[in-house]
Amino acid sequence: MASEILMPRMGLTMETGRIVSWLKQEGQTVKAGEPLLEIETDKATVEIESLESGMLGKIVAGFGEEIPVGGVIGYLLKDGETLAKDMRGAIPATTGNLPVSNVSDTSAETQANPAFVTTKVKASPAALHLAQQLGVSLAQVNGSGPNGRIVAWNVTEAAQSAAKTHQPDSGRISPLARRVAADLGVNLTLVKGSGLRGVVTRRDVELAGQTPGRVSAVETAAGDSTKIEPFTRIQRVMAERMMQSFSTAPHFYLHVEVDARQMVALRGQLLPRLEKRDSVHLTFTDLLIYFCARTLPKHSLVMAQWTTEGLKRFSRVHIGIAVETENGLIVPVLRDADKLGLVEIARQRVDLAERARQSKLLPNEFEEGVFTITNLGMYHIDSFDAILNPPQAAILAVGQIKERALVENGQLVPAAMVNLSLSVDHRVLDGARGARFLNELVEMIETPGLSMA
Amino acid sequence: MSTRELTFAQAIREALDEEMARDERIFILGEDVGAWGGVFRTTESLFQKYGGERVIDTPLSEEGFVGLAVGAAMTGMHPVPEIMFGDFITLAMDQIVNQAAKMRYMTGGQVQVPITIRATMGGGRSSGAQHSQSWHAWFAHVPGLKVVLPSTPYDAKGLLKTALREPNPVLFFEDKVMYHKIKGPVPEEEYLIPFGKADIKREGTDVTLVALSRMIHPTLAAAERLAAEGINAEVIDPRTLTPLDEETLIKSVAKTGGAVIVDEGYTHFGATAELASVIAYGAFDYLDAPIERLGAMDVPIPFSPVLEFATIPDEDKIIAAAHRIVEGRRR
Repeated sequence: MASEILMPRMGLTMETGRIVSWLKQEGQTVKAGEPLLEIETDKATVEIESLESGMLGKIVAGFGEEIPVGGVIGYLLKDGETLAKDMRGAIPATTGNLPVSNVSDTSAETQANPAFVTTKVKASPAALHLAQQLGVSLAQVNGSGPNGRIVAWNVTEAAQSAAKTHQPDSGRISPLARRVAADLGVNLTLVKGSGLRGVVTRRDVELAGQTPGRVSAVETAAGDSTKIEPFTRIQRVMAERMMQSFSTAPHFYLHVEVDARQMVALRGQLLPRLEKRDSVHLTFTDLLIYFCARTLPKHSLVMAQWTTEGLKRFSRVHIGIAVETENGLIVPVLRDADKLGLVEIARQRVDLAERARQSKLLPNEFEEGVFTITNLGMYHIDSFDAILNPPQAAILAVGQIKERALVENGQLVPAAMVNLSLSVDHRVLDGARGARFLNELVEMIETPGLSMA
Repeated sequence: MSTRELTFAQAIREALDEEMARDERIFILGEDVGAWGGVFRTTESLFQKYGGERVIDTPLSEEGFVGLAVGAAMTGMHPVPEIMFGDFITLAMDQIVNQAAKMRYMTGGQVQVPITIRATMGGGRSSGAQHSQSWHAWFAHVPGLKVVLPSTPYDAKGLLKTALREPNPVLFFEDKVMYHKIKGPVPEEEYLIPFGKADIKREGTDVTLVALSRMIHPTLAAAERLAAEGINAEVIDPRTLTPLDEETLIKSVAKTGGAVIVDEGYTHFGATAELASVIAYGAFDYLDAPIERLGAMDVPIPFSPVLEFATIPDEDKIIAAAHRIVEGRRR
């Protein structure tokens, strides 16, 4: 028997993955540990290695197909194994906007050799019973009941539609939906079908018509074209998370102007030496990560999170760093930052940022952060207030370091200064607690030697 | 056949009257059932008609007068003790469970216990935690007892007349809210309703709503509203819990694919649980959704009307449960 290649779960929240590309073709051999395919989750593009050695016997989920976690995406054959006749297609969660690979049409085989119940399919007893009577494979049926349960009606519909001529692709959009799409200017390739087996219905099209990003370029009377581009996944995730954060976490902001002269001097000393000795380029962000990581453990409430069950507390100091990428904002996480020296912080930050820009981060590399630093100094922003990175309770927004007038001992002196703004979730900590953390951080920035003390 | 409208209380009274006239072994006993005619007027004028030997006022002494009745039944009488507030049937528990229910078996059939214990049930009158409970499920749990739960004046009369001809102990539960509020057609002519025969109060195809006693009324109202949405509900009244008409329940759910079970007794380990189990077993291959159970919330019944109604199933709760059953089906 061939072994199934399943859609892996790459993170706690992952429910489906989209096939980006197969790195092997059917018939090619693959060794255990060798990259087999690339998938896209809602967070990143990930390379999947083969768990076993063998020959890629069959690809059942092709380019662009979105498959639930645990769904079969292909089959691996070991020596002497052949494909069984009943090995069937994947369970597409939705139809992608790209043509389905040529192996998806397995209905003839399935009809001849119905694979009945699998444990992954949730169906009512009535649906199971009917499926057996009618010879319908439940794996092909989309459930419309609560939590996606397959109900009896789904089975009778599936049996009826299977009885009609089989048109896998043109059947995925109802004729009415096509007409409505033309009227509304909706780009059908971007519409997710909610009907049986992912058929795009009129309602889907109408809903899509109300959603920005799903409408094709519309020519106005004057001839200018207003182009609406579909969101990337990162854009959509960012929008959803920021909306959730801003509307559910009561934010407040603590502002402080910090004397950065000693930090600037420290970086001035270390930068050339570390470049030479360790080939790393030290940034102010690295220093701030270092200072934050050493201040946070004494203020564990800053790393706590509000949940409906209660306050969730963390002991490990995983710090997120906001990174700008072509597709949008990403926040990779430096794990156990309080245990890392400056060189290691700089190295890891460069590596994470680089891979974030290439969409090559592993899903666990942006999970479990307890605090985030976002720095817009390089864009000459003096100061700004950040939206909390949910579910975290605090985020530090860093402005540019600039010579400003400082009053010192009654004298006006020019000094390198930096504005910090700490955004705080008031459900988790109050102004005084937030201020105590920020004060200690400021003290460390102004007297970096304290971090060694 | 001529038919008039009677209240639930009038139908009960008429059944007692007719059977007492037919069978002189029948006598009534309980608190204020005599000269006063019963606090719910179910024995009105029977004292005047049949005299103090057949309609006996007792002290507040449930265990005493039920025990007396069990003994009388064993000697060949057919006593009809009335528990004014069913809550206090707990005081007579030993007489009912350990004596009435056991005698026929323990004497090898030499002794029968023809006794019809009438007890009230049901909340909704702001009567507080000790005057609002529905304990029918307890008795349905005991072998040797028959448990009857009429929902309409017609059923009340027909079932009570059957009980009064029954050679075994019967627990006859009357929802006190229905006594004067529920009116319905009752034929002049004599009729009996056999035990163990459910009544389909409304035929339907999409979901089966099973309701006991007074719950039939909000359930029928819910069915009307569901019909307006295109959901065609079947409403079944089992009428007796023991014996239970399993066939009607199973056949109905095999047709509709889903069931909501509504009862005013407590949900936990209640009548709804047993009915759900009967349906799940018998109609397993036809169930298209989990069975929904609606019972009284598992708390002492509050005195505050607002809180009290929140703990009892009603039309809206029944509709919501029916929606959960048909969710995802073609409408």
